[in-house]
Amino acid sequence: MTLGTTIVLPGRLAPARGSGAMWWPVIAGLLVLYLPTYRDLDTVYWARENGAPGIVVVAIWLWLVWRARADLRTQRRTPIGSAIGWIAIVTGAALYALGRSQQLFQLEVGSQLLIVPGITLVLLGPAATRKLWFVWAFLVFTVPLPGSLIDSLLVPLKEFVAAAVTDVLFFAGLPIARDGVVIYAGPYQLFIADACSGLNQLVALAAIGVLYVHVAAHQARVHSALLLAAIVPVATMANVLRVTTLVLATYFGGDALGRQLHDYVSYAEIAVAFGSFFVLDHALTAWRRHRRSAA
Amino acid sequence: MTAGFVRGLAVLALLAAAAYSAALLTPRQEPGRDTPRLVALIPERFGSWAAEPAEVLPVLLVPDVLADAEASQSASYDDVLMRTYRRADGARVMVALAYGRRQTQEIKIHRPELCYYAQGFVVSGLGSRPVQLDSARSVESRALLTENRARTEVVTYWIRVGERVANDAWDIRWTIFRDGLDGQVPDGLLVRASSLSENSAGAERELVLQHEFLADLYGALPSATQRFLAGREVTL
Repeated sequence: MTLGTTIVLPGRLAPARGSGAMWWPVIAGLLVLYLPTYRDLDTVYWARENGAPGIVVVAIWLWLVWRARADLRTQRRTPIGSAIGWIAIVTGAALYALGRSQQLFQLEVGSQLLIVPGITLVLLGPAATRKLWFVWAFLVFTVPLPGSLIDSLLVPLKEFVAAAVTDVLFFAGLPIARDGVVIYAGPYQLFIADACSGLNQLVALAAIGVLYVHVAAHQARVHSALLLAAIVPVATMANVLRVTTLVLATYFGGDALGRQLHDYVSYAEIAVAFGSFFVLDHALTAWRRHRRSAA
Repeated sequence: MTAGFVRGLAVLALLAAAAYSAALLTPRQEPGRDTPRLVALIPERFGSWAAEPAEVLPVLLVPDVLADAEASQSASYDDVLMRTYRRADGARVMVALAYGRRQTQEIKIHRPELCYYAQGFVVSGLGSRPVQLDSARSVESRALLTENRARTEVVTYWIRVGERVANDAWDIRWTIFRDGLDGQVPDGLLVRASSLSENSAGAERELVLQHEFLADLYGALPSATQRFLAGREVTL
């Protein structure tokens, strides 16, 4: 729904030689292709789980394009680059046609990863395409995980969340037990639903985390690597915290309170996870500075 | 017109061609559109079996159980039927059917493994078992042993997609894809029979009982309904 509007910017910024005009047909083409795609993504995937993650990724992408607007003006095309670009666009178009018609969302959405760099190769050349790598590679976060893969990831993730929550509360002295992914807290029976696995928040946080590391552009590779490695554990801990809160709310406040809190707590989870990530980044910076001054 | 603009137009032409081919390739036939209600298709009495009120709550047909069980099921399927049958000799079998008019890659029948798991059961697979429905027809089924702290339940199921029985996730996807290229959106039906067992050692006996139940049911149905349950034998 938003792909096109973003690329308008370079046009506006490069008016002198009229090269901006070439973006208009491209924007029209991208809108024809992906407007329906994003509408379907919204109804099939994003709407199912609070909708937040997908929108976040699209918003970030728009910002990335805006941030890279200067690079969209440099044109240095090469014959080989153009040839590869056209091949990428044609291949992407074929994958799109197959994916869209047969509802293979991964092909349909994934075709962006061929078509977008293909377009920059053809219109701007290899140098700009390389410079813009993060902008088009970031689109990988819009590709939804296939249902079967989600199911096989969800099983261990839900099991882990249920076990962690039960252990924590059991040691805190609550009368709690579990059968697989069903938690019994006092008189209540709580299901760890798919959404409680935290998988969607995990994808959104991975996108934000990767972006953060890219933008912060730390000199030390170790720093970036540690931050990236922390994404999954941080997101998982935040999720365990969320489910624990919900179980406690239900146990002490009753079923109605637990349900009421359900949606709010998932926003708090993103905040907690991102906050911890931020704190970790600063701790790492402080540690590196400390080590440097000690040396 | 600058060369850049011409290139932009060429990109537009390719992208428009992609959108047009996608529209051409989109399957439009939906054979499942005029299916009658399951309640009308499956008799309450046949042979020595008769439906009776459920003795235990059946495991729901969806993995994600929301606050309202009925609502979670009707959000996923076009029609659902759950019944408990009792045979003259006292043996009981629970049957659960879930029907979806349109099966697509992302919206399709939930496999019982996940539904039982999500509802607190430990699920172990007992392999693929052919069910002899009559002298001419046998279908490949999956057998499961499911246990939680309150009960042990043995399950036989198969999933029909279009004209085929496909129990494996990739097989289901492949069937939907092939039908799609033929211009069809297949319908889908889960046939699940289950019974309670004292312990896991009794599993084989329950499977025999379930196969007898399914064969008795199949034999009592008109051929159109037989095909609705088990599809046609088609080789790929």
